[in-house]
This record gives sequence, C-alpha cells and structure tokens, in this order.
Amino acid sequence: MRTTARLTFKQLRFESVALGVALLALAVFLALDASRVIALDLRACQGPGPGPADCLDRLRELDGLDRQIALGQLLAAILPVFAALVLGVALIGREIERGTTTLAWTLGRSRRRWLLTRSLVVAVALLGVAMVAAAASGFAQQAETPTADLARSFDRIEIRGPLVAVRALAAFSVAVLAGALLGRTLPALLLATVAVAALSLGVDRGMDVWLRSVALPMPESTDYAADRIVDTQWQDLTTGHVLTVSQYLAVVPPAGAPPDWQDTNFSAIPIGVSGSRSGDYAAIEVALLGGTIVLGTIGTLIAVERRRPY
Amino acid sequence: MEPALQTWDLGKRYDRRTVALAGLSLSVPTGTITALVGPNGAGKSTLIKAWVGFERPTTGRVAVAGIDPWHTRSEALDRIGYVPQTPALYREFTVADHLDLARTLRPRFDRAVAARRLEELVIPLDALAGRLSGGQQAQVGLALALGTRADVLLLDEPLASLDPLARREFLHVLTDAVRSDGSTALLASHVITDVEQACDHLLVLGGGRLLLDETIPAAVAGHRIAEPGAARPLTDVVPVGTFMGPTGDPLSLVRLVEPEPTGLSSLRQATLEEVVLGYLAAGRSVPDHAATSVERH
Repeated sequence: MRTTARLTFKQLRFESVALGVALLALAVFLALDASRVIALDLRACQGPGPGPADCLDRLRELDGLDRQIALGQLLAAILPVFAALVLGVALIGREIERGTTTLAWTLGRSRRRWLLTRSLVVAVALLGVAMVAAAASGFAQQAETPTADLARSFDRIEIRGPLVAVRALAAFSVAVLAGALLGRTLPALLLATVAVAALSLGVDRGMDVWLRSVALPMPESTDYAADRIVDTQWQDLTTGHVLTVSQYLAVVPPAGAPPDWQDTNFSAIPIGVSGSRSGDYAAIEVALLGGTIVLGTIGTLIAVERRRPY
Repeated sequence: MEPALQTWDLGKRYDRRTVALAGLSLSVPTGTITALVGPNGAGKSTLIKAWVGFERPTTGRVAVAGIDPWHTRSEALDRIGYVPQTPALYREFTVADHLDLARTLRPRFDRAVAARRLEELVIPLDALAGRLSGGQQAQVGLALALGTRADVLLLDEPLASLDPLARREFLHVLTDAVRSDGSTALLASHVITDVEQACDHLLVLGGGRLLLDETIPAAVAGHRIAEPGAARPLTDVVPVGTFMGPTGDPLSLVRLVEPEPTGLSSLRQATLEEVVLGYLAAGRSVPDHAATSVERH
C-alpha cells in the first residue's frame, strides 16, 4: 500500500502539491484571523459600563476580519471540492488519455483492485486536507461567535465541519467516474463540474424539502443564526387566525390605508427548525452524499471493468 | 499439449463498415515463437487485444492456455505478458518505479529478473522513463513483460519504431528469455527479416482472415517463385499470389503440392519475405465475402 501511495502521488504530484499547499495555507490564514479576533477581546466592550476607550476601533477591526473570515470560509468549502474534481479526473481519465492503463491493466490481474487502492489513497489524503480546512473554518467562526454552540447551530453549517469533507469526497467520486467514462481529462473535468453542480443543487433542494417538512412555528426564536427559518406566517391578533405570506400580502395594507400606515393587527411567526436539529441535518446530508459516493464508486467499477484501456 | 493461444471462428466488427476479424480459427503451439504478419489493418492488433481481454469478440471466442480472457480475465492475465506497440510507460516514473508498480500489481512479478535484464542493457533504473530513447522504452516494456514470468508473451509490433540495432537487441533478449523459460511468444511485426531471425512459426493475416499458418522452415521449403517468362510447370504446384519484385517485375508465388517435386527447374526457391508477400497479395485479391482457404500444416 505504501508503494501504491508513493507512486499514485508521484503521478499526481503537481496537483497534489498545489492544492494541498493552497488548502493548508487557507487553514493557516483562517486560524490567524481567528487568533486576531480572539486577541480583540470584545467581551470587554460588551459588558456594562463604558469599557475600554478603543472599543470602536476594535469593532471596526472585527468588521474587517469578519469579511476576511467569511471569504476564507467560502474558499475552505470550495477548494476541497475543486481539488476533488482535479484529482478525481486525473486519477483514471488522464491514465486512459496517456495510454498507461494498457500497462497497469495487463500487469495487474484485477482492475477493481487497481482502482480501489489508488482511489482510497487519494480519498484519504483529500479527506485529511479537507478536514483541516473545515476545522480551521469552524475555529474561525467560533472565534467570531464565542458564545455560540456550533454543534447545535445551522449558522454557516454548509461551509464548516464534516460536510465540507464529505462534499469533497462526493465530488471526488463523481470526478473519478467521469474520468473512467470519458477517458479524457478536460471533457471529464467539464462533465464532472456540471454533475457536481447539479448534485449540489439537488442535495440543497432535498435538504430544503426536509427542513420544510420538519419546520415548526417558532414564536420564541430569538437566535436567527442558530435556527434555520424557512418561512414566516402571520397571526391575526384579534381573531387568532394564522395567514401565509401570500394571504397576508393580500390583506395588508388595507385598501385606502395612508402612506404611513403601520400594521398593528398581525404578528409575524417564524417557521423554522431549531439549531438543536443541525446534527440531524448534517447526518441526512452525509447520508445523501454517502449514497452518491457509493453509486459513483459502483459506476466507476463497472466502467473500468467494461471499457477499453484506450 | 494444449495450445498456448487459440481462436474459434473469431469475428470482430467495430461498426457496420469496419470488420477487423472474420471467422478466424487458429492455434499457437506452446513453446514456440510465432510471428504474426500482415499489412496495416489486417487485424493483428485486434487479435492480440482480444487475447489480452481488451477487445470483446463479436462472434466466436478466444482462449489463452484454455482460458477465456473476456469471461475470466484475471486468470487469463495471470498467464500473459503484454508489450504494446507504443510502450505505455509512466513518463514521470523512473524505471525502478515501474518495477515497483509491477510488483504491487502482480505479486509474482520477478523484480530481480527484470532489473537484471535492464542492467545488462545498461538502462539505468533511476532514469525517468520519459527521458529514455524509444529502444530503451521498448526494452523496459519487454523487461516488465518478462518479469511477470508469464506463460505467454504477446508482443504487438514493439519493433515498429525501433532502429535496426535496437530491434536486434530487443529480439535477442526476447528469444533468449523465451528459450530459457520455455514460454510461448507471439510477435506481431512488419519486418520479415526480424521474423526470420527470431521466430519458428508463422501466421499471415490479411483482411481479418488467416492466410497462412505454418512453421517457418516448412513455409520456405514448400514454396517457389516463378520469375517473369519462366516456363509454367505442368504439375505439383498451386498458384498462391503475384506481387511486384524488387525490379518492378511481377513475381508469382506457388505452393508445392508434393514434398519432393520434379520438373521444377524453371522455379527458384522462395525467401520467407516472398512467401509472405505472395500470401498478402493473394489475400488482397480475395473478396471480403469469400471464404479464404487457409493452408494449415
């Protein structure tokens, strides 16, 4: 296995080094930003009393850091997927393109074993680097919101934590399949990119359906970041009837209302899912992406078994 | 003894118009070095790739040591060492990396044998494959195939792009290894002098059909050339084909019916190249739909 790992990364050395360095640099960048946020010690400005004289400056600096961290988190979510696409396509597609599968598939007795050992080596490395990026992303977010319990929060759940790594693995699985089907690097990269974008949209849509199916009225919700609000309903305070948004907009403002009319008859009720269910959300998305990984791997095995090596 | 390689009524069609092989039945005896000769498009590569399990027969079947490589590929591959026309080496790997790769892919791979053969040819193991000459790359490909200790070596025109010296070295290594290991080799080639030097059996393929299947000494002994203007013998010969000689005159290849014919003073002994050319000319004149008669001995 050690020889397989050495030779696989020797083949992918440019992509591996470039993407690995980029992801680790991003993790360091996020960790540094997080340490700068911690060093601002904003709690001193949040207590009763005037606080330190430079609180305004500290808040301004936090604002700048917040933007940097948001950008870093976005990159930490995208870069592992990009790395997965590039490495996944190269793993088999480039071999077929260069004709080296002719050698590998006649020296080896089993194409299946050849595929799985190489894929496993790259997937483990990808998982490791993506986890580092995801952990740095979570660390930076925790520094910004020190009182938040991120394990029970929907706040930026898609761009921190294990979902980042699992999405990268799903993209890797799709990219390997595209490479095995097309046997050409660039077309496979394009196909895999489109497929991963479609998969991402599909998963987001599926998760949205799940969120709506479990959403409840949350009149007491005050933590719009931790909870996931999916809809708003309006309660008529005089009759107690609850209206949907479209029903509400049909009656408000009433005909002939003056320009400065204010609604005092209705109260907004957020419909959402408590942050305590963010773990369920992550588990369902991991299951969906895990299914994709399994299907992608089975598809690749079939393609590799049946196709010509050229 | 079971033949090393066999086909039964093998046909391969890529699309409606492209027929690579048609009704091909042949066997390659174990322990021989067999030349597979034919023009471009004759179906040589397709035939070899069918034995390697890369091409699925459209009709008929193939076997390596009695094993169908399409249905039980891993067992068939265990018996095959394959050298493609273009060495399929990883250009970013050193030669030693290739030996390591072969060891991981095939646990029985004899790294020491392969390394020793390469050292004898002064091919450095720490050299990048992408920086080796064409001849050296072909030798690495051959060393990898020989290191498998496979019963059957399939060589798909590995000499095509080599200079004469590299070809000579390649054939020397091949014949030396096959004779000492007692294995079987099938060598596809265009170059008849190479075939004559290295091989003991001859298969001539044309238009996807088998035109000749014979030992090389028997092929040479059993044919004659009728020079232009020579008197036509009355009996004991069968015309095979007519092709252009070195001076541009037509030469006719004939096959002897009797082993010790008489009254053939007007005919001269054919060279192996002339035997091959005669059959290729005959194959070219046979319509696609017609069954080709195969001389088998």
